[in-house]
Amino acid sequence: MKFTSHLRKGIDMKTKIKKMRINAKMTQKQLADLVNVSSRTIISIEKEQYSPSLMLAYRLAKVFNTSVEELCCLEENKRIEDREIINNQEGTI
Amino acid sequence: MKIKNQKYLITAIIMEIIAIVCLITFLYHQETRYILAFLLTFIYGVISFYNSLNKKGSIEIASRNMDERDILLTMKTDKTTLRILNYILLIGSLVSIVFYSIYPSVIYITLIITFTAIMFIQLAILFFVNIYYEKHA
Repeated sequence: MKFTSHLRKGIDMKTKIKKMRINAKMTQKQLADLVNVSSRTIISIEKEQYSPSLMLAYRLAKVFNTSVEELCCLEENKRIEDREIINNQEGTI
Repeated sequence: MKIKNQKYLITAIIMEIIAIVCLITFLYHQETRYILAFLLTFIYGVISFYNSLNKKGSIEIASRNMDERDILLTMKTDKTTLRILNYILLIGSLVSIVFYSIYPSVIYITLIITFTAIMFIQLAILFFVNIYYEKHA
């Protein structure tokens, strides 16, 4: 349950997808076609309303020639989640 | 002759069985409602059988074009629908109890039993489905 803290608040993972897509001069539709999803999915990921699956994150990382860790800011997201867990634990004590 | 949609075929078989039951009942009781039920179920069964030979179901077509977010949205929609349905049933049963206390009529008892029975069945299904996914998902 602890690992769904982002989902519980309706906030999903921070990613660098928008930044990388703009740098690559790609449209949302073009990126969506490259990774076989709808452009609505790309919009939702960029707005941080939806967290991509591991496979989709990997496909996106391949498109931008980077790692999943870098693309999905895993370290930063982990730090945010750790802080939330600590806050929750402090709140329950 | 190749079956393209098994769901339609199952519906067709069920409908035809009901149609036969209705026809047999009509032969014994000679009431108009049974012949009407026979005609409706028979026609529906024939249409379902025709559909099973000719086309894929709309859900099957849609699911081929779904991506992972659509699947998540479908799950969320189902969950919300179930929750709303539960609230409606709960409110319905409570209102029926209140009405029964004011106007003691057998219709309210029927409503209370129906609503609570549906809620109980839903709870039981939820419980067993949860156990299934705990073991298989």
